Amino acid sequence: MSTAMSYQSIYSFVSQQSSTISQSSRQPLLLPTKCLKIDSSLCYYTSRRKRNLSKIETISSQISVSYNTTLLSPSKNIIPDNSQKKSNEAALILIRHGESLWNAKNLFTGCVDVPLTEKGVEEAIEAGKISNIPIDVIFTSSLIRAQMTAVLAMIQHRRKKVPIILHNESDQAKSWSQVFSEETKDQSVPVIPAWQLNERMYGELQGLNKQETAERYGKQQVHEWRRSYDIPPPKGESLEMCAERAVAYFEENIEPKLAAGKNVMIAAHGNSLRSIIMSLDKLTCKEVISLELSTGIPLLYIFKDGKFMKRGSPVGPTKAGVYAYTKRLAQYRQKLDESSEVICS
Amino acid sequence: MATVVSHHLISSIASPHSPSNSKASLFPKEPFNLPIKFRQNRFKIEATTASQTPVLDPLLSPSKTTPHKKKSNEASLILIRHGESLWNEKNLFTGCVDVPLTEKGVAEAIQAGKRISTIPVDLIFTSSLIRAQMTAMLAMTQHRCKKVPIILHDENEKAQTWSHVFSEETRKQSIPVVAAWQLNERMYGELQGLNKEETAERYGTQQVHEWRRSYHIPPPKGESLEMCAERAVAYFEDNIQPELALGNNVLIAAHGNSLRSIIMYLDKLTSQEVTSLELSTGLPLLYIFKDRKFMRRGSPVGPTEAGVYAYTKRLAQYRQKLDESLN
Repeated sequence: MSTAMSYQSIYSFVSQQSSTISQSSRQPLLLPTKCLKIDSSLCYYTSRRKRNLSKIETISSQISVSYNTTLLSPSKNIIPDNSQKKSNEAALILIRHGESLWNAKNLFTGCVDVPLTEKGVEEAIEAGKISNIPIDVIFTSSLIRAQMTAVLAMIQHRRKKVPIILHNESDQAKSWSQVFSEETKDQSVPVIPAWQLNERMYGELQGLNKQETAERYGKQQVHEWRRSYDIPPPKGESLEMCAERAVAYFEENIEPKLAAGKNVMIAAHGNSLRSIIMSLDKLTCKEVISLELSTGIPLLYIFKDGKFMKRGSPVGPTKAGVYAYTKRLAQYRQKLDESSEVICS
Repeated sequence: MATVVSHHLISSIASPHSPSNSKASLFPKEPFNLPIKFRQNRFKIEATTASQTPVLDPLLSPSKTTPHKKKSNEASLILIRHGESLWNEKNLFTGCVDVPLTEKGVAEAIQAGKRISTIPVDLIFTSSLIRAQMTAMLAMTQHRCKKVPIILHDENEKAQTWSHVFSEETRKQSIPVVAAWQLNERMYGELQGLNKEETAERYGTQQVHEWRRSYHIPPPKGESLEMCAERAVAYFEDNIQPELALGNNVLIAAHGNSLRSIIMYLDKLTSQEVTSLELSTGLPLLYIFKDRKFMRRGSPVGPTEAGVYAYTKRLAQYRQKLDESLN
């Protein structure tokens, strides 16, 4: 069990690294051992036991061989039998961040790193109603409004695990952020920032208001940029381009986690989340253009047998409602209710 | 359009009155070493225009100052230590592990913001850890100037390009936020993630006490306070002090040890004095930088608190302007 688990994390971490470096490719990559050595600390987040570096190195030589097997059959149980705690089902929660300071001013934001308003902060805390759904790993964009949304939502979580943002921008950042207590690691939820989950880059419209933009470019042109699937604003991304990098990231880094039974939360932006939903729900380009994702309201999917099932928005703990939890989620909630000292799931 | 893009940044860094301005369009290495990568990169793009355009300060004060004049010979420096983090609550050594704020920490940040809501801020520096960044962002939601903090991204070219702003007016209403690892908390090495009990068991009570209270003894694979001070103060001198010298008002949101180190430099404390210096969380500390000296002004009172607080004339005028223009 432990070898396969660290395999997953190595694979997903390194492919994340590689996609940052090479900015492309879903091709299997030979993993340089150097990468893995540095990465050993990350493995701690997904496994209970201490890893030996030698174990990791053995695995690394097998990874390029078995890479395709994992990708192609996520539903196959690649984990040996002694992993009783694993599940063939995983929860995926999507949260779009709330109001930002430029939303309030009606400015095109894109990838400018603008923070939340007070209202946006409240929306994030409200989104913490996901507190009854297990979360093992969090993905966010590299923009603070999404990161703040994720950590503010987690303040409400009943499990009381601590989100910790992973730093891999440099060797120093990695070694400086290392955690040295096994028990503490067990009580942590890794948060992985990724630029691929950023909002659609709006090019020369970033910082402009709607009026300015209409004056500069003409109303019809602006409407086209905002509503089309494949026409980018000047020096910006089309929705199609945004979808390409967001969905690729999802498939390479997030889906394997779900396949391994990890419950995932993604805190991101309107366009990057729409792109992912397009992939999960198999929407057409036309359908995705008219898809509007509410801010601050979490959307739940269940990943099972390689398929994504949309489950709508979980009700808050104080709200009356009929919400069809899966049996597994209902059991999880029950455990939380029964014990104040929560057992690790 | 694009040529004017980083104009205000240029002007804020290289005013005509700066002694090193003789090479107008290049960042001189001495005496103000301003090697912030992102500025150099932007500056490279704009270099041809910088030498020709007059120096304007659209960003820097609520009322337009006369061009070609340094804004002011006085600048405010606000220091805020972030509030409670999730590991503070659990009594774990945090160091450079990127742990976020608790609800209480969020409230502390907002409260701090209320206290500085009438003190001008032109530029914000934080560490690379989210608890400091959130503290800055949350505090600024309370600021009366209503300018928008924007975190600058210079980790690579793509990040720089992607975060570009294309409206002059919008830029004027923005406050750049610079994230720097040099302002991070002291790196606690192998103690990170341990609780006090665990640590005492593993290393012995006396040893732990020594690490926590000494100036130059680092925990295993960690930093001593001295090492932390070295990189924090160097960063301050190289990147923050020059801004103050140009009259830019600065807010620093950071951590206990990085801020102590800076205070040690500002107040010229000895290493013994600094080890016993405790900085309250969430309580902003104000300094006035004038004539190359730092004058400690204590902690500004909140707007609803009664208190006698001796603002400088410049700060009183700023506050008055805010009161007058109720937008």
